[in-house]
Amino acid sequence: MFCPSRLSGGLPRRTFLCSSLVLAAPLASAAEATRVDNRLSFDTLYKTVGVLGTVYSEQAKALKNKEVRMRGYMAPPLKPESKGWSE
Amino acid sequence: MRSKISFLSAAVLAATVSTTCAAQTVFPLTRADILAGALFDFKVEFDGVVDPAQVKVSINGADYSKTLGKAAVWVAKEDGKEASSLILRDASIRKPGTYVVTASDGKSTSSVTWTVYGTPAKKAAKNVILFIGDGFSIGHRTAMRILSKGIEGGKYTGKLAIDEMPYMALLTTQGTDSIITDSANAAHAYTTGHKSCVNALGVYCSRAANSLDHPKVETITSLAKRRGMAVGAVTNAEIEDATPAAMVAHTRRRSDYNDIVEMYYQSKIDVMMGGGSPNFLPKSTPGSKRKDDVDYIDRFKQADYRLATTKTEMLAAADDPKTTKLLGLYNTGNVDGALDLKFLKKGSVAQFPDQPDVPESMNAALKVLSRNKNGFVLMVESARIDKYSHSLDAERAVYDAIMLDDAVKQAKQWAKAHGDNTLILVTADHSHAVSVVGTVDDNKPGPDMRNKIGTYNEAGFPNYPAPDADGYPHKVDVSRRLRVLFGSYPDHYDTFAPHLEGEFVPAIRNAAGVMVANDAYKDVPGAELRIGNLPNIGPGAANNGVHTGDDVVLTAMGPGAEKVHGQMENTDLFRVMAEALALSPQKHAASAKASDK
Repeated sequence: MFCPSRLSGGLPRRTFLCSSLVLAAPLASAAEATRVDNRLSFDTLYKTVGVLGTVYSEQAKALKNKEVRMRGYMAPPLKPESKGWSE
Repeated sequence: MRSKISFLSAAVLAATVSTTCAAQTVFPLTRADILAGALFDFKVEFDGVVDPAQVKVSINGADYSKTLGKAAVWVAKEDGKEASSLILRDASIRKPGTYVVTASDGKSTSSVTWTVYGTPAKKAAKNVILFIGDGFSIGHRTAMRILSKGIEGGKYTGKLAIDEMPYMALLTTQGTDSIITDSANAAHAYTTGHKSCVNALGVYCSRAANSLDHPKVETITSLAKRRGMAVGAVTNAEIEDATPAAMVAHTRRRSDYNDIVEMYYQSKIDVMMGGGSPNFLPKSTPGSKRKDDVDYIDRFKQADYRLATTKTEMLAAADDPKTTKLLGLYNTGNVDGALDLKFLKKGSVAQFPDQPDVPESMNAALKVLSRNKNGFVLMVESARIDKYSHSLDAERAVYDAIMLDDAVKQAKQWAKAHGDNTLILVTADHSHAVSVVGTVDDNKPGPDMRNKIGTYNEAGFPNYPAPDADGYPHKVDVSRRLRVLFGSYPDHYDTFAPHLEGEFVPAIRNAAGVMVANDAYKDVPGAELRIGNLPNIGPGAANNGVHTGDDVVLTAMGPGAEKVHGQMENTDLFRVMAEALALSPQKHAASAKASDK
């Protein structure tokens, strides 16, 4: 999977992947997306991503149960980075 | 004449690759070498539903239960399908010798032959350290030697730690299903002494529907633990990844990460270190990859494991004389490789700034494991040689090969200072098509990068700075650098230079499902498009380089290492360890003789 933010020194792709999955539902409709003003960037989604779990940012938590707007994309193959085998 | 040769070749090939078209499949498969007393699942698969009254399964002419000590379970319709099976879990054979298994359904008969071997009564080695450079091939070895040692008067100025070992062999890596292995059945061969198929760990590949139901074979972890020894697995991959998982796992599918975490727990392995923490976290914890709410961090702690999530914590835990069990998880994914960790600070180093490298993890493991007076078995993996070779990132692969050598150097020092009774084995699990072709010299005239490649005498010598004490040149983007090429690749842009911005991502799948070159590198000055030589459509489409079937090198030293020589099967490495540790002690030399090769 290619993630442009990774090449430019931004978030690693694992974070990118998680972010997109978590917020996939609110992005389901372009029409809906244009209606919401709650903007969240991939850089501000998490407070920390650590070995013992991720912690969402205060900004993200404040938007719980609200529609949010995020810009970005994922490019196939959508495999976690460690799955470099034949399966 | 030509047709005659072809005909003969075909006949020989047919005899080689296919035995009789047997109606029954018997596990372990024919020609299995089985350690006397080691546990294995015995299974006979029949072609269809058969009448158990007509079934006759014998070993050396007598009913199988006489040799295996108990009766199997009859499964009339395995997994609800129209086929019967006979399954006996946790069987073993104590007496070395040749065993012929015959299985008949009343109409057809098939047979397999096993060799059961014992070991000397007395152990030659107290400890074993098995180093696995994942995908570590001859090309990596040559490249790292050039970078780490340099050449003067046409000779290397020093020897690599992995080279300076008295015994060497070529290991062949093919499996039960293919000439090419992956890291699962390759590592499985080392940890169990049995061959298996791609993606399988600790099992033979049968027709069972569930990945956890296939016929199991005992791991060296289990065998060593049964004798009171300590066992460890150290990697810079995710701890659930195939090579470390082969120490404990029994699954047809290496991606069963959550099950593999449970298998680690059940194995009671003493030290485990690597990345891959999300499969230890309950699903209620953000970032978890579990499908249940079991908190394995807590379970391991409850079982008296010390937990380390950083290098600092690891060093403190290892220094504490009370620590005899250690769980080290240093990254959510793979631990960063040497080039990123020590020099470029790319990858996930910003996110995880306090990760240990492989030698540091190994030293912590040695401290903890050596607290067991009965000795230990430790597997140490430099995992990302393989991962960076998949991504055609030669510099990162070579730096991780140097990291393997640094670990071996320190292990040799440890062994010398601790009684000289440790068998050290260094090998790869499989190969990549990687070669040192020459150099690239930025100062050669002209705009085209390909015309800056020097071959033969034009290659000369690269101008990397002298290596540091651990063997790494501190600068990789020098003006005259190694030209290391991979022989299998997808479409990609060849940039002729190290990827300082982060690991190379050669290809991506486009909207039409075709694997194409990653456009992100299109505008890198001098980049040239290489059309791939691997499938680019369908399920076999490759977004990176692939494993090859080339032999791998095994070097060895210490007690028991003299068994390493010539060409050996990868499964023979298990036998070298088993014999050195006397894992199946035989009272009489004659009965142990079946193990001599």
